[in-house]
Amino acid sequence: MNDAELHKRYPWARLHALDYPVRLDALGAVLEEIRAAHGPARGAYGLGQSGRLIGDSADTRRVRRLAKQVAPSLATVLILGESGTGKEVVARQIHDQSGREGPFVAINSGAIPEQLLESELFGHERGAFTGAVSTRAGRFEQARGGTFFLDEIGDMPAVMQVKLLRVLEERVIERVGGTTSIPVDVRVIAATHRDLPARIEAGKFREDLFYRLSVFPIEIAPLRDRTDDIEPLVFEFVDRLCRDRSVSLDIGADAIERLRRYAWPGNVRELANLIERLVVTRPNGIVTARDLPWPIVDDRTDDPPFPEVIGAALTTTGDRVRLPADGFDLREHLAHIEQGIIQNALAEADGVVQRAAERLGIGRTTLVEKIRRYGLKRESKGHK
Amino acid sequence: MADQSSVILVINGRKRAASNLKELIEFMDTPLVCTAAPDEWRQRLGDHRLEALFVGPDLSDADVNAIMSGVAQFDPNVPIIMMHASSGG
Repeated sequence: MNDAELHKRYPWARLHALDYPVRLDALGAVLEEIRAAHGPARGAYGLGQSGRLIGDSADTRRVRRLAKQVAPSLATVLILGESGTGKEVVARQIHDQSGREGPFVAINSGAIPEQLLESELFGHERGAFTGAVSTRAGRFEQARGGTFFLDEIGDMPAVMQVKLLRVLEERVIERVGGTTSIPVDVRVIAATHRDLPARIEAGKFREDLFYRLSVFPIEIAPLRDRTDDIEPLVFEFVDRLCRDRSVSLDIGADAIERLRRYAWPGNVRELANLIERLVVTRPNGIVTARDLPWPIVDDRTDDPPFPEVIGAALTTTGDRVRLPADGFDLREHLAHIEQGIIQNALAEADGVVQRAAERLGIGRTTLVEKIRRYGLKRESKGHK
Repeated sequence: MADQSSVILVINGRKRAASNLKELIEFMDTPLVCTAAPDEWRQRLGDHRLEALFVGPDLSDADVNAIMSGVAQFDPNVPIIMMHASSGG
């Protein structure tokens, strides 16, 4: 049975496809997708379910204040920020302070296939489609009396944007295959890392939905812009992880200083992952700056202007090689280097192959073969 | 991360292939992974929460249909990963 047949026959099913034999990258992508779309709402970065915002930077204090202000109301909140900044933590904090007795239900609207999203959000009636053997409440209904957190709203398919708009306006939902409008008392919090005005401009996001969602916008700054949060976050993660694993870990002042100077493109999530790795690799140890991985150690703003260019694609910083983001061909690069070295050797040997081969520590035949392969001329020193 | 009581099931007709995939999934830092034959996955699951179901490429349509019916009754929210034989290897 192919995918199309399966989708047609079992439209309720959360189907994913994977080629067999399995490639690790494809498997990783599927597992990640499952975790994002179906996993239990994570308390974000090991912070548990408390929804507590960690840090005392001016920005975090501002976010904390805004969350407290908006919590008791029913206003829809739009949380904006780069991936990994802790948007779900803020949403939880709002829910925790709202006094609402219902649950906090979270969904990643960008990670669920379009054909499943409607049933996921609004549920379905028994017999709505083949395989719908029982009536199922959607996430909106599950969040009744509580808060519904729609993460990655900027990636929501256009069709669903219309339906969501209707729910926000009328506060009723209709299950797939149902005919009854069901009132839902749900507080909606949406979040995205996307530039929504740009998505509107590109025709990918509805302007009316944007205005409906952004009744109360909260913007979270990237971690690099609130470095005062780094130390409290580090100690929070260390405390929590060490308690869970019954180990201890000391982070030295020099390491903290390095962490403060790093740009954190993955934001708090990246920091949490690093601490988790350190707890695993150095249980009962002390972490100094030297123990930190190279992107962090090397991200020094006071470094002398480097980087030296090797060939066309690689740069080095200190003794580390930085690979270009858009891919790299090692064989081609090594060939480029080899070609340059042979050319120099030939030039220094005045074009005498035997002498150049001796200088390079390889056999004459081997060098001739390489000269032929690279199309090199036997240049004499000083001749170009 | 999922809670400790959740499990990923790999259903495949060929035991060796199922074990290989189990090892791969475990390598990807996932919770408990178990293998099962098409007709015994419910028993293998026991009281665990089903995190996801990997369905091997060599199962018959009848097996797949039976699994889908079982999932529909058990928990239609469970992600099902259908594996398809790839010619590219």
